[in-house]
Amino acid sequence: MDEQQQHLRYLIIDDFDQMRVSFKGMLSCYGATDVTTVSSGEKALKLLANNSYDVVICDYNLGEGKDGQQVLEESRYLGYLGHAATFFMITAESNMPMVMSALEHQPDDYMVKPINRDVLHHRLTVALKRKGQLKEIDDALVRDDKLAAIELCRGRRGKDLKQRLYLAKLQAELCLDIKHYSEAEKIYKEILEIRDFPWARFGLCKIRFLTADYESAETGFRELIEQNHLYLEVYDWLVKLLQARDETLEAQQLLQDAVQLSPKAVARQRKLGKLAEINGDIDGAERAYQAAIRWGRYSCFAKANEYRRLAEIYQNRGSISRVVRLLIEGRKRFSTQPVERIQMLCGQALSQRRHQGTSAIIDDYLEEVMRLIDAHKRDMTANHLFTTADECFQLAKHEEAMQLLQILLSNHHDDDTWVERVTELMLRHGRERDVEQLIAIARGELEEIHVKCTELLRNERLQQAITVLNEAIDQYPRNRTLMLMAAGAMINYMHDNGMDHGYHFRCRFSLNRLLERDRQDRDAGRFLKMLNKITPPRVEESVGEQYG
Amino acid sequence: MNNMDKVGGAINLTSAFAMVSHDIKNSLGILLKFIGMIAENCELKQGADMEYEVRRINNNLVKLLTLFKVDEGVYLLNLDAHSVKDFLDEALLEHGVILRQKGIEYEVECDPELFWYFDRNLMMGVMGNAISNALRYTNDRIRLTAEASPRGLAIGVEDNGEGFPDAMLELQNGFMQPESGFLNNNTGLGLYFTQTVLDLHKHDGIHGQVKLANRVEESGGIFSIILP
Repeated sequence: MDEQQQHLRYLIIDDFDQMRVSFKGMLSCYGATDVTTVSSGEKALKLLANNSYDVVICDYNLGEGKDGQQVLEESRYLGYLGHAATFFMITAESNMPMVMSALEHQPDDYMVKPINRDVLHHRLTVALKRKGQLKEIDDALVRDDKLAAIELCRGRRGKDLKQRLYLAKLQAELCLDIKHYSEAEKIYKEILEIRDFPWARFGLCKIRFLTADYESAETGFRELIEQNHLYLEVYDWLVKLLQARDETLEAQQLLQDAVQLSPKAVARQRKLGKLAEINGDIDGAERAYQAAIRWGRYSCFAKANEYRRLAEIYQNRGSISRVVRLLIEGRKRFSTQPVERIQMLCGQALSQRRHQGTSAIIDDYLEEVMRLIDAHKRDMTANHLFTTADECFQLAKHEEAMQLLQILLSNHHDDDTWVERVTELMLRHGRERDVEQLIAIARGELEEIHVKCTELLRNERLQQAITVLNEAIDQYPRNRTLMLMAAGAMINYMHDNGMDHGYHFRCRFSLNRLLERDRQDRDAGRFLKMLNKITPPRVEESVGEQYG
Repeated sequence: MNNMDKVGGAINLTSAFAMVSHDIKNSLGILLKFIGMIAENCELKQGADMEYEVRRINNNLVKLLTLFKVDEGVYLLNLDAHSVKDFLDEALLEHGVILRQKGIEYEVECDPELFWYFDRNLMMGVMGNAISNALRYTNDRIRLTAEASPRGLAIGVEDNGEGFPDAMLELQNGFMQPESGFLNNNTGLGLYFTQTVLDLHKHDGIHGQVKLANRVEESGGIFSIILP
């Protein structure tokens, strides 16, 4: 082990204490000193949240609770595990279905048991070297700068065929993400010339689907499943396709097959529940939501949605005690996830009102809802606010409903769809007289900021204008007009004064958020292109030359 | 889709096999650790023999599982590009303790810039099997070679023992036929496994090939394969 490897921070996750001791022994035998071991996925995630590790060695099979794949996905999803950290998955079998999945769900390397120290060391050395070569791209991915990552992938050529293949796959996936279909298609076709890689064929089928060529997409998806019935991601895409054609019965059947093969995927169970409800299969929906809740206990991908839907099903069956128990369980489950907790609180309030009429406890629930919304404005989407406002109306809490709609409109005063939806909701609840006022307040607030900034800009006080805009964004974190004004001002500033990391980060965050909301947002797209021209100073590591 | 029916059935052999193999592999891993400790600290020469047997159990388990899965049609080929040199180095390192303990010299002859497409873990099973055999019969040297040829990647595992007995060399052509009786011994199973793995890698209509031979100028056997 070279000196660099000795100074890395290692985390070993294995439920079997002998194996933990064994791995630790192998690493210390090569001089590693900072080695932490942990016995479960849950404990590992706590450690990962509060510490940074360079190398994680994780057994796939961790007994009760989360498995290795969940640890990997959740730690990446929650941002505990940077792209810079190297994740090794230890498996007993060489043939795991997840090796087929997209790159973001894959560890850096798999190791098959039994492992001796010679092999461990060899793998470690190879993986770390590879990781070092990909640093620039990893950095771009951490910044969520897909265009830059694609550009870097394009530029990499060399004799390392393994890396070239990896970069081609990454480039194609990123291109698919940002809808550069022709570039993705070209890559997949080139790769299929070399060998029959199922993931490349899958990629082509996805493009067919996304460009609405359903027929040939379906044939392709079905072929892939036929050859590889464990290729679960294909099921998800075929389900999307069937739904797009309103063939919901078949979509449900297919998802049922998929969850049977791999019951732990919470999102898939939730989707199955929804489809079953659409098809009027209430028993099926009940089973799916129950499964989503059961597996979701260990997962960060659990949502209040499955609790609320299942409660609705129990409600319609008249089993009130089950409704009550389920909602209490859900509220506890999401004690640290405000957005989900709000939905559980509303659910409890609604159920309370239905069974006991008005009561003081409803006020308590609502009070907490309003407090949480105020404290977590950033996380509340328009949809959340809208649904919660609707439920407030149902609870005869008009005051609260109006407050929420005011927040919604202040964030979306420039979006006709939301203005219309809010108007419609208020009409439904007999508040048509207040609509005009809400809209006027929202527009007035924004107008005020606008005037203030124009004034500052006229006096060439660009930085002050940016401060005002950014403060306004903190207040209305989803307002498109504000975000675009701020981005424009910050880009202007950096154009004249050079790179500013804080501005750069804020700009990218806002623009990505806008593009996530609407891929066709031309203004956001144009600003993002301008932002990309203001590149951070490049760290020249000449990675390309090492093997060239 | 017919495999799906089995999954929902009363017993799911695939997952039973997976569970058992996970457990056995854990045990083997721990045994290997203890053996390694005993062998390298106490300079016990039987250490290498013990390690050898554990590796053999593991190889057999891998063979059994893979053949079972291929037979069931549930094996997912995990094709990727790999550095052949890295791969061969690691195949030898799996037997690191034995090589050191028995003082067997080893070399890998391969262009470090040679890359090939294959399922790494499957091929590791093939190499484990071949190296294990070579270790058993060699005198004091093992040599791994690899080079690209028009029909595929040619890999050789050479030892300097007595070489393969004539009977085995004659029989090898018939090993794919069960009636030849070749499958009844472990070498036969090893060859069958190797051929199965190579068949999974068939490309452009080209199948792989496995061959046993003896060295011409010196004594010793050569296990060679061509990977499409």
